[in-house]
Amino acid sequence: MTLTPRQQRIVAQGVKQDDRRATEALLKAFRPLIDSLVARLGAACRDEDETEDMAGEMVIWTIELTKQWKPEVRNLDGYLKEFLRYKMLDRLKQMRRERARPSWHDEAGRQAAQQADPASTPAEAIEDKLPDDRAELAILQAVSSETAAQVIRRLNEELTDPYLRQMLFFKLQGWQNPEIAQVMGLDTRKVQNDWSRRVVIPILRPMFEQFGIAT
Amino acid sequence: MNADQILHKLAALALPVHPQAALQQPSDECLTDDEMTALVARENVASSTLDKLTGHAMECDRCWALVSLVIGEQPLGDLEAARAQVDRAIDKHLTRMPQPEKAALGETLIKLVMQWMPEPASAQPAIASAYRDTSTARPAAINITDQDLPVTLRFALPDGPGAQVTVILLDQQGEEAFRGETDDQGEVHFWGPAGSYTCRVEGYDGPLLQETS
Repeated sequence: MTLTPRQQRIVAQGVKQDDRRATEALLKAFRPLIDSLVARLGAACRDEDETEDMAGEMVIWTIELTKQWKPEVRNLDGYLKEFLRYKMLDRLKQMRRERARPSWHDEAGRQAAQQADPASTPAEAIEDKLPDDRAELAILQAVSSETAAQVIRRLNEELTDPYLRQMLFFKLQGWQNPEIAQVMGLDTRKVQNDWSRRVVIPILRPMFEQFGIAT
Repeated sequence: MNADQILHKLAALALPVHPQAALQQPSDECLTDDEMTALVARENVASSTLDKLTGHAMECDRCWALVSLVIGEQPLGDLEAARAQVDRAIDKHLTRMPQPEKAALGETLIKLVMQWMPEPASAQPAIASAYRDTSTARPAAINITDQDLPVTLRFALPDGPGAQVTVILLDQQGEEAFRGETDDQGEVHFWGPAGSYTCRVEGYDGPLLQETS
């Protein structure tokens, strides 16, 4: 359920008054965002208890942020997406501090540091935490991770212009042109044209063909 | 799948994210908290931060994981487990809140009744009843003003609330403006916008009529 700007104002008004139905409507409308952020943070959590605490915090943040929202400045969608990410950053920082708290000099500290360091975590433990997005990768079934790594490496080598390399970074993260334009302080059309004319057509497509990746 | 989507999938294959790596202690070269905050804001991102992304972050597990977790679009973590956790967290939070006041059901319930109550206080409930007798049929048109919002639509059957029923509101052009499933009390909330609508109930072929009371 997506709320129109008017619905956002009505719901937020109700949330500010601690109205249960409005709070329910808010949480229902933003469930996909909350679920996704909890899944992300949960992947970094130590155990189920920590994930549960964090899910509770995410729900409370959504409500509290909505109470502070100023409709005249921007829409609730964009505001919550941005500010929940700040909260997520804070939470990760807190988790990092907690992991590092015990002194390295004692055994407990050594164990805690090892837990926070994937390099020293058994491979199967990391495997448990990896996202299961294999279904989404069905189209690339024939592509091994080695081939994928080769493509990324080759792209990095071929794109010597820092501007194009920056665009590549955001494309690897799955960003769309308007988001890339915003973060780089450019016009969306410029990003779209430069990416298409200078990367996709002359480099990316031929490279995909060369590696047997169907487009 | 376009080239960008393929590229994104290739990155997922080539550079898998280890979420716990985001919790490693940063080195001097790593993205700082301020740089990450600027990236989330997507404004005023310094060129030195952008350079760091294409240089250091591509090689550093900690920075790649942190960026992917916070601003990446790749699905991460166990979404089903997260949903269950969020369900519990929401239930826990809502149960602490006071129950909303329920307006009483109207008495004019014949076979199938849809009743809509403007809030607050349900001052002047209008009754929309449904009959299979098409000779007296009129469309179940309801006019909702700004003052009415949010509106509770209550759907009742002769033997009780019409729970888990899909109520549809069509605007004046006949376009679907709202679709909502009723809860256990047969209620669904409509948050607007104000206007004239025609009510429909999914799975019910007979006319829904409005009966003024």
